[in-house]
Amino acid sequence: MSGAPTLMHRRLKPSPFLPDLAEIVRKDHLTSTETLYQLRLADGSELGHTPGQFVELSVFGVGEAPLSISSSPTRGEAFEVCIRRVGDVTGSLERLGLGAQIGVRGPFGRGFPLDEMRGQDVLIIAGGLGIVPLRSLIVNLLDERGDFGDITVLYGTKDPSFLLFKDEITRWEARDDVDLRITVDLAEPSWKGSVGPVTTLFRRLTIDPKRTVPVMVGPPVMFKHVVKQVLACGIPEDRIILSLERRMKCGIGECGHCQINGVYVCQDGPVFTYAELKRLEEAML
Amino acid sequence: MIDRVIQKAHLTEFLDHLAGERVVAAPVADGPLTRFRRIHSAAEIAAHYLPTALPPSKYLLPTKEVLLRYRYDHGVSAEAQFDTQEMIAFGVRPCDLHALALLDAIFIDDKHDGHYMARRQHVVLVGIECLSPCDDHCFCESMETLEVHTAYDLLLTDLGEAYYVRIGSAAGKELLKGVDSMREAVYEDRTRLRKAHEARYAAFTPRLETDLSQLPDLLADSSDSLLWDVLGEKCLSCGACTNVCPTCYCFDVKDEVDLGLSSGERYRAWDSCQLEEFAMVGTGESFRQPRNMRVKHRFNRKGRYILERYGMQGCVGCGRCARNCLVGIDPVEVFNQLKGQPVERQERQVMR
Ligand SMILES: Cc1cc2nc3c(=O)[nH]c(=O)nc-3n(C[C@H](O)[C@H](O)[C@H](O)COP(=O)(O)OP(=O)(O)OC[C@H]3O[C@@H](n4cnc5c(N)ncnc54)[C@H](O)[C@@H]3O)c2cc1C
Ligand code: SF4
Ligand code: SF4
Ligand code: FES
Repeated sequence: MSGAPTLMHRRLKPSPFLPDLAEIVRKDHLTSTETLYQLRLADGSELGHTPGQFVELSVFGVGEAPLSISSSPTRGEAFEVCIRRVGDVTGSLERLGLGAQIGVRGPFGRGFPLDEMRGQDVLIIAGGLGIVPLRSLIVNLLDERGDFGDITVLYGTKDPSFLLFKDEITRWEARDDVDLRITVDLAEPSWKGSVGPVTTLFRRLTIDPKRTVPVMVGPPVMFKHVVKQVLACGIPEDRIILSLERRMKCGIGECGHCQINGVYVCQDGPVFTYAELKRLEEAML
Repeated sequence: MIDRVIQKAHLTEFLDHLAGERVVAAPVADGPLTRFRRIHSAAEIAAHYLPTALPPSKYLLPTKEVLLRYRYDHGVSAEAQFDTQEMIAFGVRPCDLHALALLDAIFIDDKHDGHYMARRQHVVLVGIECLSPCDDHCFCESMETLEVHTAYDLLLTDLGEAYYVRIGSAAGKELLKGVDSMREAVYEDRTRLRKAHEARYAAFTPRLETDLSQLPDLLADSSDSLLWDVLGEKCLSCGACTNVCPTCYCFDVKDEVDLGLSSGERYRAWDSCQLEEFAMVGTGESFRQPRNMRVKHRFNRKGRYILERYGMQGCVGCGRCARNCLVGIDPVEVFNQLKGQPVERQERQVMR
């Protein structure tokens, strides 16, 4: 994968920790624990991100958290994040109403190599919350549909109640220029779809290893299995794309929390090729 | 710039005067330790001392540093905070100057971190060369940090009755204007300086058994060494080593709310890769939980990762970590043991 890490800041500021202000313009509860927030920067400017990048979002008086950008840059000035409530920052966001002001730093990190996907088949594999950054990519691909070959999306969650972006998924399912397949680990008998880990969706899938770019985001255990699967298809290591989560406190390569051996996930990633990571013991792949 | 020579008595007078007018910090004896502290007269400065308990670089990255202050009662307003207190740091050793040069490369050249820059721009560094080793723990000679050509504004070398003074910056030159009596260094002075430098190499015996340029490869090849398991069993994960290290700079970022609940601050505070929570994420997964991996990470940062990223040594050989480790883990010994017994394992197993 080519390219230096993208621009650290939209504007050079005296303090890399000084956030821009943004307003919550929309809030949609997607599941019992996940909420989609639409945000607009106070100065009306665009975030200027690429799919796969993240922001440091802050609630004043509570703290900051790294969050993937879930909307596509093709969709105008507001941007979206989809947040699972797990602790202080993510919990307090839930209590903020429309119009509330929060802080945004970023976008940070290296996103998905969109240009290297042009003209290629794209195979997207999402596990759980991994669909959040991948939604940004999927919408971008669909908005520039003519630039890409076959688009396949494999999406696995714990059970049907954890499925995110249900309305959009229904719309994607209706299209014949994207092949969407969903599976859940556990389901009631009423569930009509596939049951099993996301790798079960590889069955009856035709993959041309010479022109397929697999892109995966999910929990660590998913990577192990899916990487094995796509390698077995004959896809070269430097064309396998994955995005990793690590603890992050600064987003700019200073605080040390996100390090995988000598690599900083916040700056050098979060998107990597498998070739870049496979020798790093701490990547846990 | 032309070097100078100052008689010791004149330097003392100058420091007395300076400390009365400006903020001067210098190594001061504090029980068995030495600490960088504000002085009011030259007499307070410790004559012979081990490296200060905390390195001067920690002044530039304090335990708690406020980054922002904000209000959120009527809308939100946030303002970055910068510390612009002027200070003259006197008596900074070469190892610590190297550490400061590294932090400058990271926080200024690479990150443009205004908080670090503000402090740094207001500190004048007066270094002092080491002509004999501090104790058995220091190994600056092995890390090639005994000689120093960067970071200082002034650098003093003890020539007996006088100091040889090298000027490293305009700020250093400016400071010297306050010295009443000094002269320009001449050929004889430079000869004495060179002799002092040559003589010190007899006192500093090399401690590292690997060629320094081979250290990164040695560490890369030792990923599976059993030594990490041995050290993992020994280490208490107390974080003392990272707290005292002049090149450790990892931090946490937190918020604190004022009593009125309508304003607060965001600050950064020291953190340590030796603590278990350091690499833990939301799902409760810790990506460097086993202790042997944490120890391995620290030594790889010191001997490999920092060098690979910033082109400068990540360990300056000050020996502080070894001096402070309750169980006697010493970086030179670790590097030498890796060199002596490259223990390979068939299968990697991690300790839990
Ligand atoms: C690049 C990146 C993208 C992410 N994208 C999303 C996303 O799109 N949606 C989403 O819901 N979550 C995402 N996360 C996870 C999210 O950052 C954490 O859930 C959040 O930081 C927890 O903050 P908190 O204050 O609510 O929890 P806390 O009260 O701080 O702690 C709760 C738990 O979260 C862990 N934690 C604390 N800080 C961090 C941190 N900085 N990074 C990871 N874990 C942490 C703690 O170990 C603890 O177990 C992403 C993380 C990264 C690194
Ligand atoms: S000081 Fe010693 S015991 Fe404590 S964390 Fe460092 S190496 Fe381990
Ligand atoms: S690792 Fe130890 S010897 Fe090296 S710079 Fe840090 S404290 Fe000094
Ligand atoms: S998040 Fe701080 S170094 Fe990556």
